[in-house]
Amino acid sequence: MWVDYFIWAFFYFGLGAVVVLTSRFINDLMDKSKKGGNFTSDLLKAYKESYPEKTTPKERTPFSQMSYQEKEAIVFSVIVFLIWPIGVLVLIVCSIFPQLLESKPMPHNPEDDFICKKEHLLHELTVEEAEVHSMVEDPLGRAPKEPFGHLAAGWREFLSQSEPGYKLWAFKVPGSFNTFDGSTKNARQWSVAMGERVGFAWVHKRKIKAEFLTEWD
Amino acid sequence: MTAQVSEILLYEGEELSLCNEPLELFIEKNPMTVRFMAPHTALWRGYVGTWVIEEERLYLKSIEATIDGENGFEDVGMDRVFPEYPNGLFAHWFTGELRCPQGALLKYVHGGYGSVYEKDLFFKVKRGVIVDKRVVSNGTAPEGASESYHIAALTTIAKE
Repeated sequence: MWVDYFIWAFFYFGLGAVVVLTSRFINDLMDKSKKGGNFTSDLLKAYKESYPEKTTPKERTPFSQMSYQEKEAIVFSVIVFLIWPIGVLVLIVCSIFPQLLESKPMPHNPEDDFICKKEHLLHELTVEEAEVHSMVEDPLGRAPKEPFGHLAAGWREFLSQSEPGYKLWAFKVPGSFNTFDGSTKNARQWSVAMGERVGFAWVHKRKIKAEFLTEWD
Repeated sequence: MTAQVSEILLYEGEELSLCNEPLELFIEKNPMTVRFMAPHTALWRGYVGTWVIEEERLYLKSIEATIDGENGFEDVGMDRVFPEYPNGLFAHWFTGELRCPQGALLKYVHGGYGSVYEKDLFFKVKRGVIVDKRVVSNGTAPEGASESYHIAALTTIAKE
């Protein structure tokens, strides 16, 4: 009986090995035209680089020297080796329905386009109140005597974006250090200083619909 | 990015290099009648503004710009960019700190306004009004170091 299990396992894992090697071979063939070599040569290179003469195996392992893609390929190969029938089934399904492999774009949130977020809203006010406090005084007369001075055209455009039900809010975005990955951590290294930004926003049902910046430090 | 040509600031009879672009918010938030074009890689913004501090206020005095005209690139001035304000604009939209490098070059950085000079003169501005001024010393340059703000290299962009 144990012999039967052994024979069964031998064929199962033998076929698994064939499936993995075939898939890697096809993958390498497809990548041949691209720069940077293929999986097999990269794997050998990573192994050689991991054990230079003056380095102990404890300090550097082949796995630690590999790129993320190479590690991913190994993990994937091991999984296919163990459960190759499912892998083959997935391959057949994907070849019949290629759209399953296409990544769907993330839905665009219009609010992401604005500097002002909900938490930056200060208070609601009327257009008249906003304009009264935004008159520009210049003793040399080099600014228009109207609300928001040289920014008046932008203000008028902002007003034109109003729709029934929209409410005008004042906002203030505090200064921060924006890291290049888009997060606003406190880390100052590799970050861009963004000063305080002040302005007005059209808000409808607690959603920002348009914004007008009056100060950008 | 290539090191950028600075703006010019006239202050107490001196012509200083200004390593800020106070006009950017104005351009971004106002519909402009002209479209600025980069004449070379050291001037991606397409213009050089001359600013002046008068009565403790910041004014745009003049501008030399390259625009996308009817016959390709055109070099124009205030009369074309701001025809309603040929005598200049009060920069009330600007809040922030202006930086004017002074003295000899300590470290050249071929990107943006990254080069470091012996001193930096800072003006703190609130809605176009100068509210504070300070000088920061960055060190002493060795003898023979080049004086004043400059660009080491640039590539001209074809005007077609």
